[in-house]
Amino acid sequence: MNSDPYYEISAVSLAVGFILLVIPSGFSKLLRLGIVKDLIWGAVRAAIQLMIVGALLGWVLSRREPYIPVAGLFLMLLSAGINAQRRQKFPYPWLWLKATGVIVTATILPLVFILIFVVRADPWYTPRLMIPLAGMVMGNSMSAVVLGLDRFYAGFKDRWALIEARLALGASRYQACLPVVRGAARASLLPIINTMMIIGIVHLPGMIVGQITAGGDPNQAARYQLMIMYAIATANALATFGVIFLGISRFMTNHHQIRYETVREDLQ
Amino acid sequence: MKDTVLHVENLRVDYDDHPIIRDISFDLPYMTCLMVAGPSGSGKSTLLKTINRLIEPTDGSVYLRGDDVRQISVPALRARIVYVPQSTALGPVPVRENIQLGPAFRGDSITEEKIQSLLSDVGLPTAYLPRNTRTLSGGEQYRLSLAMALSLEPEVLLLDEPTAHLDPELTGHIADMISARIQSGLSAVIVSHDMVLFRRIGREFIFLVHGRIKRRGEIQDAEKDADQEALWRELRALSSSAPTMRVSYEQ
Repeated sequence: MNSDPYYEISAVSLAVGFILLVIPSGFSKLLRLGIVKDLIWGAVRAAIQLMIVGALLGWVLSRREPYIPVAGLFLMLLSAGINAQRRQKFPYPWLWLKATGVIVTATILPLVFILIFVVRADPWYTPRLMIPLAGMVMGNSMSAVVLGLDRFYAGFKDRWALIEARLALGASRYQACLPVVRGAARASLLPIINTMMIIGIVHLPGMIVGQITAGGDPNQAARYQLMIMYAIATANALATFGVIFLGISRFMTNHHQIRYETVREDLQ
Repeated sequence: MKDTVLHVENLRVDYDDHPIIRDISFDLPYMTCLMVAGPSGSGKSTLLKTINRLIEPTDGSVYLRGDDVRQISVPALRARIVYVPQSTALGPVPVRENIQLGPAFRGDSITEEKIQSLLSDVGLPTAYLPRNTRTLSGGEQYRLSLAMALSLEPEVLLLDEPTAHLDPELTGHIADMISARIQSGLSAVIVSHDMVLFRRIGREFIFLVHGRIKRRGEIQDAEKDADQEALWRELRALSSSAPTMRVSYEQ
């Protein structure tokens, strides 16, 4: 174990850190990028948001009642679902609820698996572990939902004639959509595959950095990082699968027909 | 009903509360071909798509050999009544894989001998089998779509403008091929303004205007009377203004 002390950052020290932003601000001003205000506002906003989250997490982690972290987890998942709808190029009514359903399923399954079988947390909902791990898995699930649905919709828009031709040959709605499904699934799974390819070589991700700077054992930090990557890959696959199922049921009837009016309304 | 393969009854399709086809009724006798003509936007393609349930009718029924098509599983129905759209849309894979597609959807396979026979039926050389569909011309792509439809050995073939992109020689070849298939058990509904198809394989015709049947009759009988004169005149007018077939290449 590392014997170095844990270096706390005081509010004053943080303010010193803020000075660093003089460089990008000066750079923006020099090139007249017109983003100095955005930069400062972004930095302030991030500070406020993270301070609130820090305080909130401090409170949640100090409680022993199981419903508090679980309730917190569901609030996070709901917020991810709403965000998934906002970031959608082709949103439709109640998408947020369906997206939340997909994100919940995609996140909970690998999360509970790693908590119970890999980390062997006792109890499994130990907030110090569950909340940050859930945050990481969920954020990636949300991105997979947004990317998967966007690609599926774009693919459907471009290739509906092919889908119709396949239906006309007796394909089920799932068989008919397969060429589009493949494109969407690849698009939402590739980022995590690429990340796994270069992890540790090109960049050190947040979890490993966090544990090492907090004085943790680098070997353990690497293992935690690996575990979270596997969970994220699983969550992304589940989210992609769920979201493609959503897309197919949005655009196709149970009788393997294209809902032409919905396609026209959603994708125009 | 015994000799009727397809019975269409009071078919109506609305889109955005606007009727696309209305009160369409006809019988398709076994081993015959019904020709469907009409100006652009008269609902011809919608009629074909409704017969094999690519579009759900707002009202009315379709019976296949006496069974309401709603009682047949949709993929099974579409293997029995196969629709070939006017605009071909093929996956960018070799010709062979395309022909294998329809049977594969049903979990079946197709022999190499059958694939070659289908290709020759539609007038494509077997040397095309390994070629990617992107390298085929529009007419060749349509003929491949036809071979894909025939690979399912359907009872009813629904063709949308099958000769729109073919030269007269190939039109004759396709007409002969469909005629031979009809003699060996196939029935067909063909949307076309092609007088060669009308004369060589059509037995009855319906003429649609604004989604309704404006005129109907037997082609051979009608040829002798004034109605037939009017039909040919209208077909000639439609043929001269017919749009060129659109071919989409899938990425």
